[in-house]
Amino acid sequence: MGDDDPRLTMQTGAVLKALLVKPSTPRYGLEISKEAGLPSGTIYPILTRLEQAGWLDSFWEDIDEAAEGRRRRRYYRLSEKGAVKGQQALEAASQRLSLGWLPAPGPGGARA
Amino acid sequence: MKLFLGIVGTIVVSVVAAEFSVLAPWFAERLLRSAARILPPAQRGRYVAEWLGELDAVPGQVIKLLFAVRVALRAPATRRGLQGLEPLWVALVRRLLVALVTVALAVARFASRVLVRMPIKRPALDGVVVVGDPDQPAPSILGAELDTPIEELDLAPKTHSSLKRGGVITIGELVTRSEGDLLNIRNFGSRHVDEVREKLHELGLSLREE
Repeated sequence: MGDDDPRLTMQTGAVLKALLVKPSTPRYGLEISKEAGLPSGTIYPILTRLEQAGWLDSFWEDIDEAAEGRRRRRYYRLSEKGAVKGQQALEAASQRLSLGWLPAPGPGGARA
Repeated sequence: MKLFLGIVGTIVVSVVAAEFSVLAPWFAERLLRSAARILPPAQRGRYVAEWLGELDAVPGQVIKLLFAVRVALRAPATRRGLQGLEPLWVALVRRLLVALVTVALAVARFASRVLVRMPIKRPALDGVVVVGDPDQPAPSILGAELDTPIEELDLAPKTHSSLKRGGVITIGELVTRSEGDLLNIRNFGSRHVDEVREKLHELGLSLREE
């Protein structure tokens, strides 16, 4: 096991893959679970582990709750470390297991 | 353990309440607050606020409850995420338990399916007298057959018209008459009675016993 890196389960891989589509866009839990294709409500342990490992940053939505009629959301975004390490972890997993999280690297490493 | 029982209790109560979708969001919020109690105190506030913010974004009353149930079920995993890696033996025992529960649920689901498919054995109906020839195909005694007009019996024209005159329109009405009833119809003789008996017998039916 490598230092403090989170275990890469299927679900964690799906979350990372979804976040890596637009790494700089902040998203809240429901959006992430929808994009990762996971049942809503099941991803908080994953987000927690990734955040504890320093792969994710999180912050509160800045809204007037009374005016919006709903409570503020917690937004997540990949950290620089998370973007790099997440990409590496997915590629390694995809080569090891070919689970289809990523398209197979083209000849000459065509993937950006 | 008390906390765990508390969570399970809240889940059960919540599921029952799903019938009343108006109450569902309220139960969902209770459930989330109670689930957060297993998190380290320092993190509790943040996760309650985060989950409630998500809850407001979940569409649909009952779906909110479903969301809360999922979050609550995964709350122990969230706690592990906050506390870092657990000792190896704890992880192994936990996975073993999860595997056992999964297998047990699968077996239960399979068993319930088999039980549902099993035909229910009905007690034989005592005292039912089967009329007609038992070697004939299932007699057409029941239901729509009885509404069939007597024309379908293909009786001789004279027999037919006499029956009509006697007020017998359908096969159902015919089988409620006895031989004596029929003989009371004008111009209806035992020859006609025999013909009717024969035709009814072909259908597995008979006249009413006197």
